[in-house]
Amino acid sequence: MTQVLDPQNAQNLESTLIDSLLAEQKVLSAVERFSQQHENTTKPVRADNYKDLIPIRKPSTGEQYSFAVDLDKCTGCKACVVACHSLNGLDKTESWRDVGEIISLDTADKQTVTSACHHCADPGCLSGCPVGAYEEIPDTGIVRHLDDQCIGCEYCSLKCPYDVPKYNKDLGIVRKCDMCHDRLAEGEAPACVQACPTGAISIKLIETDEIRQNAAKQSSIIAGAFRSDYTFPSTVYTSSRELSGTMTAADEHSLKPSHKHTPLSWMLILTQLSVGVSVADFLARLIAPEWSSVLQLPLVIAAVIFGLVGLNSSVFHLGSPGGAWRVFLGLKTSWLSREIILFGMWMPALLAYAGLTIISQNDFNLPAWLPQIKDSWIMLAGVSVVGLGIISVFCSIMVYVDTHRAFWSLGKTTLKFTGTLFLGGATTLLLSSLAFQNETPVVLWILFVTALLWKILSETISLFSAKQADWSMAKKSALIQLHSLRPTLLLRWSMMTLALIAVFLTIYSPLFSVIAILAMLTGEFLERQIYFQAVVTLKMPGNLER
Amino acid sequence: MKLKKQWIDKIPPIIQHDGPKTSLLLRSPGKFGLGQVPQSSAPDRTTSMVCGFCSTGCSLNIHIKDNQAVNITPDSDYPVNIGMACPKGWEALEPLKADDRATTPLLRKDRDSELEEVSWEVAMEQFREKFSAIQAQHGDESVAFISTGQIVTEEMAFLGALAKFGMGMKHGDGNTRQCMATAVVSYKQSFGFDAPPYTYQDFEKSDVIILIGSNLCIAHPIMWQRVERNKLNPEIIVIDPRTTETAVAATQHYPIMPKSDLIFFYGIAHILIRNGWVDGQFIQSHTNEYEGFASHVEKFTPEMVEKQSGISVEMLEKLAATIHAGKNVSFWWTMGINQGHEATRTAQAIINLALMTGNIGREGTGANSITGQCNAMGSRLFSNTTGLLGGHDFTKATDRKKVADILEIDESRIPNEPSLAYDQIIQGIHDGKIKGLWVIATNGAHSWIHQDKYNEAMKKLDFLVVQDMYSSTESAVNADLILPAAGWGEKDGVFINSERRIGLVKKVSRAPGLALSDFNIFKLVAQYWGCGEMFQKWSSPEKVFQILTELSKGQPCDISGIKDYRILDDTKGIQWPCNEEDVSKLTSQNERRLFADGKFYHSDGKAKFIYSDPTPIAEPTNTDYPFILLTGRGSSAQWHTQTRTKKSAILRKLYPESIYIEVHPTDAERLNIQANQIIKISSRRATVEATAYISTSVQVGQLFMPMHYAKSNRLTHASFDPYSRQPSYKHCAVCILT
Repeated sequence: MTQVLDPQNAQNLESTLIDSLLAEQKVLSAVERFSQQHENTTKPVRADNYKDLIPIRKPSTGEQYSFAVDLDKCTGCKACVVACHSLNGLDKTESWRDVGEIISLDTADKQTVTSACHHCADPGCLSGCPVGAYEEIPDTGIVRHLDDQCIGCEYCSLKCPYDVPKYNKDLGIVRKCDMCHDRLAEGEAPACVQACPTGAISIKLIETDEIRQNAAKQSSIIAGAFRSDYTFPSTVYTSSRELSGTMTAADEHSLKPSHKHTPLSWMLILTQLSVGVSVADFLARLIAPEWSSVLQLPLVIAAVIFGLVGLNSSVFHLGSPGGAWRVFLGLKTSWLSREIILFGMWMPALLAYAGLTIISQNDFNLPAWLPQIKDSWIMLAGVSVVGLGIISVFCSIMVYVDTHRAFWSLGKTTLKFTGTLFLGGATTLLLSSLAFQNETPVVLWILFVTALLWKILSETISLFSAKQADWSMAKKSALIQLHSLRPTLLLRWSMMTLALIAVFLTIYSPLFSVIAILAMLTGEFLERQIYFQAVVTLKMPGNLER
Repeated sequence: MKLKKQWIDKIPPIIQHDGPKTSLLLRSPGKFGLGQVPQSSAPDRTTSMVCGFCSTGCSLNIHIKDNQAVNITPDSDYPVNIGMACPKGWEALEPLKADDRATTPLLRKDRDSELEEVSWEVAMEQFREKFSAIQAQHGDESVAFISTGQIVTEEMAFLGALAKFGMGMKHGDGNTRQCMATAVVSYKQSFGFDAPPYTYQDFEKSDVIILIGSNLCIAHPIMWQRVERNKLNPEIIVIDPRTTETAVAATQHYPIMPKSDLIFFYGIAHILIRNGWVDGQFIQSHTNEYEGFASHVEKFTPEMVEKQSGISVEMLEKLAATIHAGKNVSFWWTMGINQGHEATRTAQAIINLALMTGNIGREGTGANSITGQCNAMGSRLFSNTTGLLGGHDFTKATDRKKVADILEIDESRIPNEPSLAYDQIIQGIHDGKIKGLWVIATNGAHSWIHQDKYNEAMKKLDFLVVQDMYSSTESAVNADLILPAAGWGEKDGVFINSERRIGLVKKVSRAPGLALSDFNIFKLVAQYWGCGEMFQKWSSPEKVFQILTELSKGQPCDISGIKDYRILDDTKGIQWPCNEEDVSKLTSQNERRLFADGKFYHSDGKAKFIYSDPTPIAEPTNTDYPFILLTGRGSSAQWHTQTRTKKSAILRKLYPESIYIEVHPTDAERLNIQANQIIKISSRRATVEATAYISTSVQVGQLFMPMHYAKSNRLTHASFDPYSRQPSYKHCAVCILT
């Protein structure tokens, strides 16, 4: 009706056309008309493409599945990366396969390298996991990640020298390649094998002994990868060309800092400070019980605060803390598991030690049936606190040493971690003395300055590697610090300077001790951020940085 | 008892094998012959269609669940890709979902104001008002269009017919000028028609495969798949200044000096003739002008060619000997040839090599141009820009009459001369002759050579309309009017791939908001312009396809045997030519090549040797600008200006986020450039910053920059092949500022 009455009939016709075109745009007519393909086919039609690329039988005893890559056929199209993403329903940016490149700077030579999980014979992820979220599927050797077991601590990412397990922020867990084990079980090829246009990736049966022999023969599975005698990767790369050791990863010179791990930085420095303070307190009680009596209370309170905040911040590091009660499962092989359990024992001891100290120093009206606190009890608690604390810090050190990264070697890590322990103890002891005593013994100043020198030395020594003529991991770590992390490095030492000034000013007013403590905490925190960020992440060869 | 059991069930197990997170990644049998697929996106229907990125023309199986396209796997039954795809194909659905899709028409009231959302009614009124006012004041020729190789053939034809026959425009060109114009002109002059002669099967049947200026592994990975399927243990020869992925995979690599290619091929011809390694019989029966060519190449001695190309006499002899030893030698070229200052003659020098050795018309042979865009081949035949619809000629009265009769339009509506080329349209804007421009599905503000000059031209326009999937492209953001278009997968039509195969594109996804298919936008424009009647028969893409088949009748590209879309779908694409007789043979042979009978398309049935003297490059290096800058494709995960590929998070992981430049270690050491350092590169036109990638892929004195980052074309020099008007992206002089 309205159409007839509308005076602007022509315009109305056009509007009708627009409406009908918009309506037509929403109809998927072609789908209705053409969607008949393979309606009744149950067998995979792609099977012909890959039937020669997967074994015809299951692995027998002593054998496992492995990826085999014919590098002559890998030309860097990266279809495998996207197919893994699409055929496995992974998240937006997630793929379990990656393609990098190794290049030569002497000759015009290069080679693209596709890689996924190497399903190692001695997987670092599995041995490092504190909660048993990895298992080797019996009979196939496939290293499988149990997504609902994972607590998202990301230690496996540090343990894996190929950077395979990747953290998924939305899920709070890591995920990784499972070699499409359920596809293999049905005689289908893994997604990447199905997708390679040139058939460069295949699944082979390999004897575990052969994996170990290969690791002994070659230092690494391919130029630019970490040496194989750490985790015994099963992937076999072959090439008709001599891919010499002088070839390097295309992203070798990338100075991109590694993951910050902020909650871990807090956890590490605060637990080390706490242990340092409790050691200082305990030694003071042993050596000069009279002199130290006034300092005991502030010191144990400081130790408890540092310790509690430190341990709590570690929880923020976990993506899925709900399953953390399973940490005992990794005790046999995982330093992280040991660290968590030991700190878990250390904290109650520290609380008991603090409680006993507080009660013994105050005149509480305690019920008569409670036994009198004896000095030997406090002594025993102190010994436990110091003992458990030092062993826990040792576990912390080993957590990182066990990742086989040059910047986190036993020497370097021990110097840094015990430096924090020493500096924390010495500084807190000095500050409490300055604040609560009329006279401060010179020995405390000497201790403080020694701790300071210890830190300066342990940190600056690694920077000299920047001057090395040859490229090395040490040089790279130094360059990351001096270039990419320059602001952090400068701030770190500004904080130390501020702490030093504030310590001296505490002579005039105890209030400066607060500034001194805060500046020292910030400084140490930044030192630990650098510790995490300047490490060279062990990984497969990549591309020019993204 | 029961209560207690429930309580026990709630205790989590020590090892949790299953649970909500594990179930996210469960795979299940996908039916439809797919094998296992993610359970969350297991389809209830599938249909296959041709990919919308490059000219390989792979078929992709679209998984549809609850009427939504949810996933893609490559089609196993298609003769092109045989179950494989490159990363772009796997991720083809992702760009459709981007946040910056154009969802409504956007209009700028005047040059200084912001773009505002308007209705289609207002947009179309403005379109008609502004363009017709410009035409009234400055003449019909003052409005032009720049089109694309990315839309379906039916839309190209509609646009060309609407703009020229309906709206009276004379000038319109496509971005195909940037990639294919050289091949078009070369084939037309040499063979008598723009006819790439090959089928992909030739990759598998050659015993000598010569790839020239083509990084097949990266630019066309699925064609490389066909090379890998070759069981003859072929010699694979790469002629390219860079040590590309393809050069590494080859058996012989000839790193010639950039743009020494014409001389190089004349030199190879010289050796072949000197040694008597030519097919006299074939030359005699099927070609013209050979004697002239033979005497022309006399002066291109191996010694002279060594000096120019940097390839030793010994290596030149080796290449000629390899060609001579081959039974089935195929020559393949891409942008390294097409984008040069004397590209047409260079392509013809390659064609001459195939002709003189008789390597054409047989399996595993041919002088074969590999196309760029998914529908560049459709554009070559049906875009109505430089050639009249259906491979016809604007200048021929008989052709004009034929087209006018079939379309039932007044013959006088058809211009009697071809359009200006892309660069001439841009120059026309600078000269004040062109005042209005309609840009469809292309991004010249990123891709056109000497970018700053292009952008100045856009500012000089009275009215700029950009029709695109996205309102965010470098070209769209400066438009006066943006028309929101549906993309690949949101409309029906056909593409024609490199091997002349016509394949179907289907509407499997709904366009967002008010976006319309380009086809429907053209329909709307016709209606508002008042020429709707002329296109009464152009009611649907399939109807238009049928008109096009009728137009092609009697032409070398005759497709009159293809009655509808159904047969295209059933036969897995059909190569042209295909008249009614050919249809019946398709079931037994659906991979066909041209010239088996030795008959070419010139009136005497012979091919022609075409040659001329080399000309100097437009911008040689000197002491101020000592480096040669090469540009080209970076990775297989990137497509041209990245309008679509950068919308996929997983594709973004596969290439560097910001622009980089390849520098040879020797140059880096001399200029004290560290790996990954940001350096400044300067040409006479602009200075840009890029990350130094120290690499032996380039030679000393040469630099390579991928074209996918908008900055690279700020440096390039606007010089053109005189015959094809194709820009020369492969050579300009730059310096590194230290």
